[in-house]
Amino acid sequence: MRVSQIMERRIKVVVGKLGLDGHDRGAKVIARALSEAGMEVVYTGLRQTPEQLVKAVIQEDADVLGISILSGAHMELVGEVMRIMGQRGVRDVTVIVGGIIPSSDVEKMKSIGVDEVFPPGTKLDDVVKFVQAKVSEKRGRLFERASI
Amino acid sequence: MSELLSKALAGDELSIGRLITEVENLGTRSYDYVDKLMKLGGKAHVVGVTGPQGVGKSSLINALALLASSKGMRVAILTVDPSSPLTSGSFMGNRIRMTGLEKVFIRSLATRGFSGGVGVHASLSIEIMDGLGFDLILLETVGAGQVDTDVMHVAHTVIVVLAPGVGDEVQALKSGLMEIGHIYVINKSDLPEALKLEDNVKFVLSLKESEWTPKVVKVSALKGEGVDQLYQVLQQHREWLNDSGRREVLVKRRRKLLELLLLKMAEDSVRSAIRSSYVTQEFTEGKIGLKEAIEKLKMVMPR
Repeated sequence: MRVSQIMERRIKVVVGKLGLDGHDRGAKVIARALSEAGMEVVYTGLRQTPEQLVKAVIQEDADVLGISILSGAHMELVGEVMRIMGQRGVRDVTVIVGGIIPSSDVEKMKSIGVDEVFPPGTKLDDVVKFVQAKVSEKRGRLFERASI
Repeated sequence: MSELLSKALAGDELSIGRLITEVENLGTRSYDYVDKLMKLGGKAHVVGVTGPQGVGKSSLINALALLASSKGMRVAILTVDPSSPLTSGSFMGNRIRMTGLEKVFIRSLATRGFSGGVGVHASLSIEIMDGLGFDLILLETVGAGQVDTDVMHVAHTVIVVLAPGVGDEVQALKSGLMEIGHIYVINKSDLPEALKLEDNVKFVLSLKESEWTPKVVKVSALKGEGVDQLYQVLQQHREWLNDSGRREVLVKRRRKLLELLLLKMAEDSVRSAIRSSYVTQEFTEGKIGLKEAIEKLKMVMPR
């Protein structure tokens, strides 16, 4: 038997709600869409702290972190997530953010390491395609490194 | 020893997470890791938590993990969710009910085509966590019915969780779940129907004799009631399984691991043998009958 037949590498995603607002429909819809696209999605639920989300990413060895945030505190909270990830040596994770993000903040989010911001009304299919493309790109890099 | 393995042994969570990914993907190096860790393992108390959907397995595990880790135990939680047979994706929501577990390592695993409620990936992950020195491994199976009883082969202690309303049909469960538990938890014990459920469970359990008399514990995982008692019963069962008993469970667990892995390999190669032969096509086009198709498939099937 060829090794490739039994090797299965799937895309693992952690989706969570950052901050104190209690609306998680958007996050659940995204999580569902990604799982229906064949990904293994861990949904962490409401009111996660940056620390909790990063811990989930580390323990689940996620390829993707999807953050939903509606509270307006996205710069602080997502910034904190990115800072903790950097501190713990978490690299090659695709970070996507959804929710209410003013368009003027999108570039700022990207400058701190967020891969893409999806505003309300984004087609689910676009999110799926973005994630698939980004993860293959990052995995290519990951495999070349071949250290661990 | 590889860098990944030594970092994981030193407790680096990033490396532990990656190690489990390696075994989940059944990657080439993963068997090496498992071999090395199996030599170090065999000490952890593996507790399987099973029961129908919606009875509160995750909340119960959360409460147990909190208590155990407050007593200084190093705790790992492995939680298994079904993969969709259509898309092979999985929506895993057990982490939602697990909070306050800063010192606990939690990993969600998808069944990836395995039935039986556990699967090869969870079996391998148990070996990993055991070898890495975790004291208590809590394994949450998929919401189980009568046939999802693999947990009895991989765990030292099986906790069957039931709750009023969901597990009322105890009679219907007796041929599966009601035979494998060492401890039966009546969760959501604050609900009025809990007493009736407890009576029913005790009745069904009384019909069968075994060396270890299964214990029934009432718990309200949300309120934190009965968790202390459950923890004590858990320790009792561990003590009851003396050294030779634990050894026996370990042997059974590793045999099951190999069986699951072989079944997986066999299934994969049967599928590819069938896919690459023309027999299916000939049969579906009506060129050959069922009898001939089976004869021909036997020829292409690996021995």
